[in-house]
Amino acid sequence: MNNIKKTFISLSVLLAASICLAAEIKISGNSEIKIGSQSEININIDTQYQNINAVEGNIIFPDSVLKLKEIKTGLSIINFWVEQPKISSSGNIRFSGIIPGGYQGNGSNILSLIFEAKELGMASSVQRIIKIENLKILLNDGKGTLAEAKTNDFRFSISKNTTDIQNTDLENNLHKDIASPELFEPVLSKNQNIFAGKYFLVFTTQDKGSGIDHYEVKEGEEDFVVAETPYLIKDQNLKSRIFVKAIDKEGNEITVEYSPKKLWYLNYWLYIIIIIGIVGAVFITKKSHKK
Amino acid sequence: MNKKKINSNKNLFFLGFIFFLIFAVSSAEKTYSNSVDVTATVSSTTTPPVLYCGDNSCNNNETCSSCPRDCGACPTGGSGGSNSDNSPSVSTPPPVIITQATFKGRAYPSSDVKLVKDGVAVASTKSGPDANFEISVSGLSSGSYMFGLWAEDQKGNRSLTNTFNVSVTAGISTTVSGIFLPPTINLDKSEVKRGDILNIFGQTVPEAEVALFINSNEELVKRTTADDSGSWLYKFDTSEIEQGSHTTKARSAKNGNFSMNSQTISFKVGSKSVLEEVAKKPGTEKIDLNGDQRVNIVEFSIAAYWYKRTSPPASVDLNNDGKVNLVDFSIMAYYWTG
Repeated sequence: MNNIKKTFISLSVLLAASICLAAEIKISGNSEIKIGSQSEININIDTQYQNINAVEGNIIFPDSVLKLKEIKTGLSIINFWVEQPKISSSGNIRFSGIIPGGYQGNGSNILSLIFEAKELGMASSVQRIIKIENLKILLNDGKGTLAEAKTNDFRFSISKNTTDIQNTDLENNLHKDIASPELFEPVLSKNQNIFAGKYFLVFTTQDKGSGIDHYEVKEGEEDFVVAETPYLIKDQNLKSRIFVKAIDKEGNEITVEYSPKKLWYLNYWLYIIIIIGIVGAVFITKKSHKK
Repeated sequence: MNKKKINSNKNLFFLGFIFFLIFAVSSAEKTYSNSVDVTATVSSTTTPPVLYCGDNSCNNNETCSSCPRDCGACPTGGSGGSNSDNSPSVSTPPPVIITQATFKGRAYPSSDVKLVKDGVAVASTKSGPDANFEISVSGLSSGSYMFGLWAEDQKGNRSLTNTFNVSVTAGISTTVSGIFLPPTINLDKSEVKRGDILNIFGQTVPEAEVALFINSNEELVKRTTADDSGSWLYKFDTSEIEQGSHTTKARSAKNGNFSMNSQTISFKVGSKSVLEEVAKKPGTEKIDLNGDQRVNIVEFSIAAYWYKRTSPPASVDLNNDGKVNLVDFSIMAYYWTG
């Protein structure tokens, strides 16, 4: 009898420990969404004292009643998105990213979603759920060990709007992101593992307001085209100037120029050196002739 | 005779000058043809701003009385002028606002300490002989940043990255202090004959106590103390553990403060001893795909290219499971240097 008791207690302790150590993705926000107004849903993480460095999953939302207006990543602790959060199929947002060096803490943002409630038809209110499926959280242990992970179902209701929508819009405007993405430096590289050893450009930056929407690249006189890192350079002779533009979700942008290889004859200092040299040589020659 | 000598000296000077020019031009050409660098920031544009009180701009019919936050306080008193909003006011230069983050802590004596901001290396410094360091980054905007710090010891071994999620506010200098970087760790053998001595060593803060965790059937904990230069060594008697694969990691403590754990390195106890390569840096050799001793956006981009594609190269598939997925990126994030 004593043995059974001991075993039961041990199992309970082990179970409790395993529950406590499960990293958690928390979905939170206003549980009542008014038709016509926008509501922000936050996807945050609590690592439960574990050091983690990679997260991925699918956010499932009822697209019959919610319209996704925006995905905000400006406050995210994810620095590099393996899969930029976006709708992968109807009512399904796929995300996957890493935190270099790892993260241990509570309440930090993974991403935020701005939803707008659709018309209900005849019903005065409906109950719906936002949840995460295929959730994976990996430990920062150099092996990619899968951490115990859990998440909550976020239940919300949609109801007819009785408040002034303009106030909500005004509030949104006050928090509108008007800053450009941060300055960045593209890096040129080539590697046998990619693009058959040809030159490519890699780039990344952050936008603390709304998050990066996309990048565009322009080579020489060509137009800007939407691009992703790594970008295979068309001019493999590296003679064209390259412009990389980062654009955030509010349309603010920053452009940096990258000159893969500077041609020596375009360097003005060389002309100055040559002119000084010629003047100096003439001066010395004349002086020596006089004497 | 003297005139001849002067003339020949002048000629020599002239020739020397010409050679200098040729050298200058050729070296400049060499520099530019070999260099690969970012040259200039061209532009930074924003969408038209929304005007409101608190946007740091006195506009939209705002006045010192309606919006002192943007327009400044209305002048009081003065010599005869009225206090209306349109009157000239005494302007004082705005205070210099520096938004920066500073990190203070301990690494290893005279070691290179690197600061990584959102995964990109942005600054480095050298710690003092007492292992203390201070490093700052400015030009930040308001928001949440993931900062990482790591150091390289005298032998070129690097620490794991310590990360901090710091919320930065415009115009405010944020300081993170009390940082204690984990010790470096290395082995003199990759495989050791059971019963032989395995030297486990590294560097940390001078005179810190180092706890070693050796993974076996039961975890063994061994302790040693770092010397004045921060170097530490533990001679581990491998007869204490069974044959097979094992791992070890270290942690430092000084004055009641503890570092994070070092990276975990593996070794094998078998029937022969194999010396570790002297230059080998534990852990990073497979992840550093372009051989620049760094794990950063270049490696990430190469792996991202192969993400979910079939038959990735063996060097990109870090866990050798035949595909590039989140596990490979997690391994990369662990060894990240920026």
